Amino acid sequence: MAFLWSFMNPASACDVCGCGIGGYYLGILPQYQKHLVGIRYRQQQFRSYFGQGLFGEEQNGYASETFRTTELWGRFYPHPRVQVVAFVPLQHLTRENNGVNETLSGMGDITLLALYEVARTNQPQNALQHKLLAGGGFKLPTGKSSYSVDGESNPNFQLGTGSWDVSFQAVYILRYRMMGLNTDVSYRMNGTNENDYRFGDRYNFSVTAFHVFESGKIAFMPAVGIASEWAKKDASGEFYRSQTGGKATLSHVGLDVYRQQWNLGFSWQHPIRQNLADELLSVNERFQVQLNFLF
Amino acid sequence: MKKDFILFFFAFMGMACANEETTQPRIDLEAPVISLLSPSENASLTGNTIPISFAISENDELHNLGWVLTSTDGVTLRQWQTHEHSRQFIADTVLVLPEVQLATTFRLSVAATDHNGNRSEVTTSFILTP
Repeated sequence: MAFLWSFMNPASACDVCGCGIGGYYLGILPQYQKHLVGIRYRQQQFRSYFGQGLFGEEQNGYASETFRTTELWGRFYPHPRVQVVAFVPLQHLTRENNGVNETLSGMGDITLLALYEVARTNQPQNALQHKLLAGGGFKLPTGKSSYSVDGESNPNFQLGTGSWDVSFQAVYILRYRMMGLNTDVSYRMNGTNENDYRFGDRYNFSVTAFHVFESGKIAFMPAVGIASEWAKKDASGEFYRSQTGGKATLSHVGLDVYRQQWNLGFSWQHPIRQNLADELLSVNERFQVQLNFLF
Repeated sequence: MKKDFILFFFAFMGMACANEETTQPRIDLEAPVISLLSPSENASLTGNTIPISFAISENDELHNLGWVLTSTDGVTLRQWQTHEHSRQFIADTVLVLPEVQLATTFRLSVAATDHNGNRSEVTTSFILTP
């Protein structure tokens, strides 16, 4: 599961801001070995603090950002051991800063992933089973990244990053009867966009425990877990940027319901610990709902 | 199939990385350089106007800059700030203080930050005699 979170002083036009654009959020992939098309909606909220002013004056204000993403996604098996996953996000970003509201809507950055089934046990259903997937992919710069106000462009408040990014991912699933553990590790190496801005590389880790309960034709799968993300500092030109990068740890709970070829899921995350953008940014609760069709 | 896939995958990723810049970003430790030209230290000005003149240069990009005029006991009387992305900034303005009735000592501080967390400040004291 990859987590992406992807920040006035009176003179600061290029404020800190939430940076959750263009990412993918894999989650526990439902029912391996089946193609899938789905739609999912996720909402992330950030609060960016103004910090100290130029002469050390305290500024207690903050700006609020809400990033809403409606995403079409699909998983296809061109080979029994290979799955290709695609995400096509539509973004709706809002930012409220000192009574001024900004809104951005449009297509975000498309992500393409390919995962290979490196290992799998072929044990009976009631024995310990495991599966290891590894792979990677690209994030394409399909979202606009040229939004500006009075000539000032905030790289963190854009529909896309404007860069080609490469990601590497590994997923390990351990299952015993109706219980399981899903571990996901990923690394995203970000490219430089046309403004010579480069978002810091991201490392993600998550572990989720789940249990399947069956009731007639319906299966319920509650899950609980923890996730962490580390982001290196962004760079503009030849120098790193201050007030960027950081780390966050979040807990999450979720519930998926399966009935025949349909899957309806909900997950909610709560930040446990965070230090983002030199403590000028905080990520709040976030959630996701998804509806998938398996075939 | 497994071997082919692994070879394909690493070739794919290698091609993807080939276009990436090989130079790593650096941490900028150089703060903006401020040259406060007017008023000069211990200057004695007459009238109710203060000529403010300074120049700031930066090796990367400026961020916030401005000045603050304070009394000798630290009370802020006037201030001005702006935001810049340039490497150079020049200010040449005149500040009018009609409320000054007696010879008074003031302090003027000019400060600037860059986008890499570096900050500079230069302060001068002067006497204004109406």
